[in-house]
Amino acid sequence: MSDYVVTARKWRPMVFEDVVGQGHVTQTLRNAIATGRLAHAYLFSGPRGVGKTTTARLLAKAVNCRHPREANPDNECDICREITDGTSFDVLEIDGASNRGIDEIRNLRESVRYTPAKGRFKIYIIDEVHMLTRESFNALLKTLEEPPSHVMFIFATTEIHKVPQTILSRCQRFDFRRIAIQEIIANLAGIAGEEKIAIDEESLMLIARKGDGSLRDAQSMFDQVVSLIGRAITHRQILDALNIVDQEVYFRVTDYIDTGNARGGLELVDEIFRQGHDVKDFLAGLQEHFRNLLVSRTTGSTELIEASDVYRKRYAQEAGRFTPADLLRFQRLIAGTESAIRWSAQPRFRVEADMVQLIGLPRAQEIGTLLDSVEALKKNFLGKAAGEESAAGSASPVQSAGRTVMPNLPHAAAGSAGKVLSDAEVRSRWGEYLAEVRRQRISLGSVLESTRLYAIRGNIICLGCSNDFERSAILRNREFLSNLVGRVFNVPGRIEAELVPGEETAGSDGDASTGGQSGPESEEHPIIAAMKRELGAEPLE
Amino acid sequence: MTGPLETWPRVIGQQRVKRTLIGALRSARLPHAFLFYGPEGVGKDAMAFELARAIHCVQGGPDACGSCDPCTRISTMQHPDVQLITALPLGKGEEKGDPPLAKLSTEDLAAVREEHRRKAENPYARVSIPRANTIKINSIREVRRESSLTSFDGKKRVFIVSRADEMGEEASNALLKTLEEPSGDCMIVLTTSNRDALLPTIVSRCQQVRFDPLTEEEIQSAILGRTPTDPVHAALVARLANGSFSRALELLDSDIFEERAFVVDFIRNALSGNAARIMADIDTITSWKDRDRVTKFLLFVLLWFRDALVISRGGKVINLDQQDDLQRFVARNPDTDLLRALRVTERAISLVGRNAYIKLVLLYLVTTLHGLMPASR
Repeated sequence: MSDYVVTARKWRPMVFEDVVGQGHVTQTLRNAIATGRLAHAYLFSGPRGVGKTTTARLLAKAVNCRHPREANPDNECDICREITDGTSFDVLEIDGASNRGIDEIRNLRESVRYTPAKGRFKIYIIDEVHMLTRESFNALLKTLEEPPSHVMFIFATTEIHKVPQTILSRCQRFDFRRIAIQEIIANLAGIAGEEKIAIDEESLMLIARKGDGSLRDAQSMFDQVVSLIGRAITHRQILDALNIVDQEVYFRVTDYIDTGNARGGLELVDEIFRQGHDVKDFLAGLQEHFRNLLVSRTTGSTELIEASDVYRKRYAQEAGRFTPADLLRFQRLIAGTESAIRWSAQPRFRVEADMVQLIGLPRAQEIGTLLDSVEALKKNFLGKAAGEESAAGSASPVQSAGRTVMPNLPHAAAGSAGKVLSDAEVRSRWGEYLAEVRRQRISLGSVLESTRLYAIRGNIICLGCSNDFERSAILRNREFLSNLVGRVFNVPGRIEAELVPGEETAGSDGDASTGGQSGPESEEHPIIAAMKRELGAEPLE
Repeated sequence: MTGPLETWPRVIGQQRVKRTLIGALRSARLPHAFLFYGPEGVGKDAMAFELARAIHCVQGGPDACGSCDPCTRISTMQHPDVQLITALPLGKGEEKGDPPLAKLSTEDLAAVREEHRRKAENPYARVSIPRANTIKINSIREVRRESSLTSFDGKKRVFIVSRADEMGEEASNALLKTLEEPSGDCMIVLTTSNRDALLPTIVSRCQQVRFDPLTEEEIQSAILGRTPTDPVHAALVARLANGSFSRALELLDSDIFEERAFVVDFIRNALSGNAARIMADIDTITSWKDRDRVTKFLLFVLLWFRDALVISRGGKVINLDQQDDLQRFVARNPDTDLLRALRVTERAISLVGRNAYIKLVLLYLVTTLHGLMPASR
């Protein structure tokens, strides 16, 4: 059972042409080999899994090979085979992370003096060279500047910034690039063909994208898919196997935002967690979704969107639902979530809370439309002001979203019932009414208690709410509350609720002392008050 | 009943992962490096031990019998070819290249042995060795040395690196070469609940296997299968455990009713601004002198606010038995403030985790909460 070797090792390139996506490096190296203009120290840098160690070994083989073919190793002579097996005395591959101390480097310096056993060069490949200690680097400097002519150093690292300048300036440096998706796909397709694994292009695309520029990552993913699914792989199976969040989910999120469906949002988060999706993938996907909507809205085309045609069409259709300002705010909120869940004790709670916030976010208004509606309001108000008491009008309920219109307060209804609620009576007996509500529905009673008696016009009692939750709770129970008005005051009436931010708007003497916003100075915490009084403390912020 | 549900019964749930691993075993496509990642306490180590048994069992797998000589040796941490690598305390005068256990004091050594044995016996238990914070570079060097040796019974040697994110930078880098091309026939299984804390170069060398949170049903039946428990209690614990069986085990050991009652009390006092009671609460909490316990307490506070938020939107709550209290609570507290309460509590938790002075953190929490919710008085 031990003869299985993972793809990344099994298909390690044996000639320069097979190194994927690093033509700028391999071509230069081959030219150098062909013309004999070899440097004595090379430094390969670049992200993980793009071919640094592979190229280092190829270079070692190519310069020592007995019968090189066009600057490629033949991989058949005894020297090549020894290097491949890792048994060569002339090519020493050193793990920089495990042999990072000064003693190891001193030993290395000693051994540099001896000539190679078989080949032309004695080659030291130091992988993860950034892990050497400062002393070790310094001990290397002299040797690196003027090594014996039979010695070649090849360093490889993923973290070039940790290598001292003095080392960098003594090496010929090659920067390896991230590998393009198309090149990864081609490589995987070739391997799949050799190993007789049936896989379609779209699936390869998924795997390649997950590799994020690293061929080894993509190949690991490929191995995983094969061991999970078998030798015939379809797109659908891959979605399941790699647990990729379905694009549909993101459209649901925007639907919920549009309709203000917080419950739907919470259920969606529950689904994501229950199905074992990686929540980071979900958030990243959501960001991309907002980005796609933004691109589609601002450019008016879907050219820049990486998605299949079906979804491109949907992005084109849905682009109009949100303004760019809204989309940018969504993105900012989710970006905050992404960074917060890294250290969050309960990522799930954080995602839930932010989902509720995302769905409840008030929509931005274009400044132009806002000005228009202000104008309209002004006209409306000036026209009517003469005929009405100004009390209600002047305290115009403003709401940030600007979606709610002023409540229609029909005066006509008053006459039909014959009797009208008297302002004084309602105010004096309001406590009775509250008690009755609480007796029948306790939670609703508590909500009502925190609202204010805002205005009484005709037989309509208008309650001032400090937030949307209270308002919707009252509106949901409007019928019940209105009926109760009839029973308590013996006059048919209706309950209305209105959002009234801020504290002292209407001159009502409502019993509850709801402060709308949490005014920091409105009421001090007893402990803080005591600290100020007893110790003369002053707030820092 | 020979369906997939019957395989590897010692590991709870995780059907998808079991299928992957058994598939790899059957088709002999076992890679030499695995990375098991997923939330805390969902069975990553348990799966690693089971995989080791499946490889070494005399019956030849993919099912391990659990009773043959190699299987029992693995379960008692006595199999020479299956090794557990965890964080260890640093020995006195320990130098690089020393075997990781060589310089430990007798007590430390005994603690390590005991904890490892416990882990092998019940992999869902949390290993807690005093003064052990990181996986030592010497432990990793030992892995490298040992990985080149031939095995005792001719099968793969297995190294389980539990909580691999506890490797420091040096240790991680020292593992890179072995992880890519081990010299002998071996398999290295890294497990972590924090994949982001690993070097990308480590992650890229492993075949990654994601573990999902366990479902409530899975946890509930696992609890009932192991110890006789009241089913209603088991259901509550299963929900509170939030997908983690290790957490469920801890909850079973504690009095969840009393703890949560204290939490509700604490929140009520904080909101009402009753200074005397608040100070009494804070004194109680600081008198525990146990940072982990404070964190757990604050997590319950967080949970309460979360439930309050969710119940006001008609979602599913976790504190199943406290729904009425929650309803009453949200009727009084506007939800914009709940969002802020969640933020503040989260911040308090992270401060406690970062070694802040606990009394100050609690003061910060209660005063901010009080300022947030004037409506509750």
